[in-house]
Amino acid sequence: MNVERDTERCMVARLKAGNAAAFEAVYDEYRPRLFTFLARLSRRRDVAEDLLDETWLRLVATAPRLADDTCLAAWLFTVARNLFASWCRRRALDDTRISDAPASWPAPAPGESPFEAASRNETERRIERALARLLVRDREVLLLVAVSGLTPAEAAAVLGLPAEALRKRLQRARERLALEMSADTARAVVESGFSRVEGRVRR
Amino acid sequence: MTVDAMDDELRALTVHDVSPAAAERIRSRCLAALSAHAEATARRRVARTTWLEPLAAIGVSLLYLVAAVRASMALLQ
Repeated sequence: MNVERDTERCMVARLKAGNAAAFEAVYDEYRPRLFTFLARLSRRRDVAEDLLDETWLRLVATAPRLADDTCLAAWLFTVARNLFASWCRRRALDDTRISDAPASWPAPAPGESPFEAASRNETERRIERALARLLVRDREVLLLVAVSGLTPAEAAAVLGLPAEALRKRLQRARERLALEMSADTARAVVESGFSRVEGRVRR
Repeated sequence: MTVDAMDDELRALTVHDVSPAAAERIRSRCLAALSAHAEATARRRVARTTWLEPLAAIGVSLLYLVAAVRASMALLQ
């Protein structure tokens, strides 16, 4: 743990000095996790790519002013999350201008996303669907802790929550995900029943 | 599904990545920005030292001047 902290301090120091190799190492380490986080939050590949681009540019611009003990994972995920929140606000404003609809966090995209389509198996598809139906506040805490592998302390820093509040939110999010997955199973059973009855009626 | 089982499933979800072309584009943009920042910092450092040298010279000259004036005053007295 201390060795990891020391390595990270060393990496931060090199980043502050504008070392390209340090940037490349951090970029290769965190890029897939950040992109996955943003893609599952926004449910759009193009948006996730734009926000990822902006996150890294922010790191480069802020690098000389980073504190020596910066936790890079927490820093990067905080910036990515804030950029996503700004994107939501902009989108909500656009929606308001176009349709005069109330501003809100984006609803899950209808139908199957490219991520669901690329999911390896049925269980993964079920989890992706259930995740997509969660509120953003529940989804983001699960994505940070359970999917991206941030420690509870890092996730609490990203979300700006005290440790106890994070624990409660995580527990609530897990319960809601379990509910969504049960509902998904029930829907699948009902749909398969309907299609069987429909088949018999046709015959 | 238990909490542990659910966490295992979540941990096992596919990690996605941007296309290699997009990854390379972002990398080059950031590296260009990084080198621009480094150059700007170096320029600022050089500008600081260019100001410091004449300032130090003026300071030392003033010290010599004060010392000379004091020596002259002592001689006159």
